[in-house]
Amino acid sequence: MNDNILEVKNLRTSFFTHLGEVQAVRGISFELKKGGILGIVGESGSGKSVSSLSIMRLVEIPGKIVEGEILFDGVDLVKLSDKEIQEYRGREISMIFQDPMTSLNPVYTIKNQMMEVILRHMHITPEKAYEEAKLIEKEKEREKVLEAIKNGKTRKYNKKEALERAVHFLKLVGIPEPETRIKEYPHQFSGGMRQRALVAMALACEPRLIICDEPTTALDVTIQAQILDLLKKVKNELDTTIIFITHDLGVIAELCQDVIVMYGGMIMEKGSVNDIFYNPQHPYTKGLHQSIPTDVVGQKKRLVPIAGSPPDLLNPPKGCPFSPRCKYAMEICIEKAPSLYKISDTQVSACWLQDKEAPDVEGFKKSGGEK
Amino acid sequence: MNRYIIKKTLFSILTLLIVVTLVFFMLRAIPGGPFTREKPLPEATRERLEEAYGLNEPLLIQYFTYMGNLFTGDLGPSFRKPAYTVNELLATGIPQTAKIGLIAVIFIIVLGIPLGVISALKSNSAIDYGVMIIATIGITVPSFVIGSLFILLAQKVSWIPVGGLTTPITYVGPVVALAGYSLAFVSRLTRSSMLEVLRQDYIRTARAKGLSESKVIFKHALKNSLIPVITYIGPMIAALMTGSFVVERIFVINGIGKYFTESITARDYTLVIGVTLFYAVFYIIMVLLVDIAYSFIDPRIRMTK
Repeated sequence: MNDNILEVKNLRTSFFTHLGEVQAVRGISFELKKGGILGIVGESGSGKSVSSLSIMRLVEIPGKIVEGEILFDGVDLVKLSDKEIQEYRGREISMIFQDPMTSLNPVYTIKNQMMEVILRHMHITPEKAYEEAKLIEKEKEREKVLEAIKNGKTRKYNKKEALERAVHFLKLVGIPEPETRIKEYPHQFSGGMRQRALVAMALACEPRLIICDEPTTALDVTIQAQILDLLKKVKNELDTTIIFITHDLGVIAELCQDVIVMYGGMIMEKGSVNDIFYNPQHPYTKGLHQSIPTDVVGQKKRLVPIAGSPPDLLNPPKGCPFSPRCKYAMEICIEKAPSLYKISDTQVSACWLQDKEAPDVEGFKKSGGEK
Repeated sequence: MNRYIIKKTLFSILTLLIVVTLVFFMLRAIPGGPFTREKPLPEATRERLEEAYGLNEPLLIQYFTYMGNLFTGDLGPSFRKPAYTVNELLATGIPQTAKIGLIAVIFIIVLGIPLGVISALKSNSAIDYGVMIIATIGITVPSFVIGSLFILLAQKVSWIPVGGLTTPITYVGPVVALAGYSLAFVSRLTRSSMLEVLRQDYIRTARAKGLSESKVIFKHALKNSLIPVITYIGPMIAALMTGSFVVERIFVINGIGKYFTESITARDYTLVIGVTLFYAVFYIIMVLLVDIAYSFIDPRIRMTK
């Protein structure tokens, strides 16, 4: 067994609209090591959210995973039946969404919504089940329960246990007086509180992978920082793996170890945080850096936006998706999409400038070998 | 909650007073009166009749006399059916109308909501199109057409009596004619509301928790999508339970829908007010019930009281 918890291979997800096939994700591949935090960054429509929804198999009609494998701990999630994938959702992989104001059901209490995920998935530990089994008086019944424990089957949580667990996790995410506040409805919570509650729900079954789809975008800056600190804290406490999707490079720098830069449904560049921030090797990544405001007091510097707009994924360009906006674009860029060139052991870039036949351009070091 | 209900009740009584007052004076403003005939009655006869019913008094006196009686529960005599009081007429008419109305209401709720849900879940499938085509027909075809078709059928088939409410089979025609429009409307409303709710973020959250599809739909989606449906159903129940002149006329049912229209043409002042009052009371009660139902479904509404 390797230590990759997630391996995505050549994933393609499209939406079949009446206008035609919108290719939202066009063949992405990446691996994720256990215990890491992977950041996926890209502008709106780059395919980052659809990629994450594909992992959860939550892409809605008319969307469909067209091709590819998503190996979670060796199991291909794409091939699972609807029933089987439900066992993974919330239990092994959970997801935190962008807008906490609309992500909770307004007509049920926090308690109800937290407990339902626990009651759905959680089974008591074999030790506890064993203790309980010892108290069963009728021999036949006891044998039956013990046999089940041996086969790894223990009973599900009862309501009392589920409530205790829910309160515990609300406390963990920093909700004050969780015992009373759990009985409230979502509208009685502030935006930051709701996101905390959603984080608690995502954590409640201690999943091995948590996908955060822009969890701080809809929150104001101070709350954003709190939620990021919270994610860091729970990651350490629960020893889980996180995929963090954002369009905010600052958040990536603060939180992640590895970064994937997406554009037009494809991976442009992939590397460690240091690679991406100090040695970007893709014109798009460089462009992103230039469009971040730097907050040095007294210094007036113009932001350099990337000219143009993202490609139309209904008729995606056949070459590199970034080529129409790229100032280094060559003929081949428009003709053919580049494969990933290996920059170092940790970094790859999908750019023809990395090819040994490409002209030398300042700021890009050619490293040759294709991956 | 109790304070809210008390407040609502007081407002309802005020509304009813205004309704009665308006109807009382508006009726008197219409030309003609209960004893106007094509071939005029002899002057002396008319005067004697008017005196007997107190119509010779000044209008304000008549009004206060009427209101005084009203508070004791007496709706007065019917001017055109001298043998009966308005109370008696309502007591015979309401059960007839309500029987048909109640069956229609149950029919609509039991059939309309599930049909809407199924259409939404199978949206853009053959089932969805089928239900929606029938629903569109239901909305566009007026009740008198449906009613007439049933009468036509009853004439051809000997074992269906034409008109009246005698055997169970005679209920089918009036119920279908009465329910048709609302049934179609409710199923369309449920469908669009359900589709709207299924697009919400919290449905995605529920799916992301690994809940089964039936739990996502019946626990998380249905309750939210019923809010607009209940808004419509409340007043709809009031309208159906108080009858339809057209349906009652076609199927020869002596309900209050029929009384209502007849009493207006006949200037049967007391009967008009009686029926209007019944209508208004029923309507207000239904709206109140809808409000209470809301607060059970949606906690955000509960808080604003």
